Amino acid sequence: MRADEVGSVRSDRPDTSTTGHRQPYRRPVARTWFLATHELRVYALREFSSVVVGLFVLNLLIGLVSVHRGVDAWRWWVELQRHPVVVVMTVVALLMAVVHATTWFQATPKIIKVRRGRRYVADVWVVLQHYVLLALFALVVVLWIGVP
Amino acid sequence: MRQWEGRTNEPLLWSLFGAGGMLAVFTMPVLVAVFGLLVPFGAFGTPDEVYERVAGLLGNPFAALAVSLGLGLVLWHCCHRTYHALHDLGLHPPEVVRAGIYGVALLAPTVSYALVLAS
Repeated sequence: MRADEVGSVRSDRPDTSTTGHRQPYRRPVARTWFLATHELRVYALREFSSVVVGLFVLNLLIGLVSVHRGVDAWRWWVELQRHPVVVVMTVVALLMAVVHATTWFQATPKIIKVRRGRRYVADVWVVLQHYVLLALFALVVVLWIGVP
Repeated sequence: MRQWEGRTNEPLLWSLFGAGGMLAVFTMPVLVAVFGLLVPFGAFGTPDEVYERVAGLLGNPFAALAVSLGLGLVLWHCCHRTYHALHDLGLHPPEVVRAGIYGVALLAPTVSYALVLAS
C-alpha cells in the first residue's frame, strides 16, 4: 500500500474529493470570535440577517402560490401571517432587512465613484440615491395594492 | 478537459449572489413590511380587497415568472451567505450541505412557479 493510500483512508483528513489535493491549513479559532469587538458583532449580525430574510422569501413564495390557488388559499395565507410565531419572525425579518439594506447603502460610496468634472460626487448623494430608489419601490408597491 | 482544470464556478455563483443582494436591499424592507405586517393587519383593507388587486397583476403568468425569478435571486443571495456563514462559525460542512442549501435556492422558486402554472 502506497503512502498516499494510507492517508486517504484516514477519516481525520479533510475531504479532498472536490478541492483536489490541496489541504488548506485551518488556523484554530474560537467559536465565538465574532463577539470579540463591535465591528465583528456588526458583521455577524449582518450575516445572520440573510438567514431570517431568506425564510421570509420562502414565506413570500408560498404567498405567491396562494394567490394563484384562489381567494380561499389567499385568506389562509394572510391569516397565517397573523399567527403570533409568524408575526415575531416577520418583525425580526423586517429589522434584519433594514439592517441589511442600510449597512449596504453605507458601503456603496466605497464602490460607486461618480466623477463630475475634476471632482467626485459627494458620498452622501450616492447613499441618498439608494434611499430614493428604496422609496420609489415602496411607492410602486403601495400604488399597486392601493393607498391605505 | 484540460482547459477546465483549475477553473472554478465561483464567478457565476457570485454574480447571482450580487444580483440578488442588489435586489434585496431595494425590495425586501418594503415587501416584509407590506406583506408581512401591513396587509395581514388590514392597513390596505380586507384580505378579499387586497386579493382583487394582487391577483390582477400576479394572475399574469409572465408577471408571476418575473416575481419568482426576483425572489429566487434574493433567496440565492441569502442561501449563499448562510452557507458561507457556516465557515465563519468554524464549521466546514461536507458537499452535501452545500448542495442542499443552494438546492433550496434553486428548487423553491422553481417548484413555486410550477405550482403557479398548475393552479
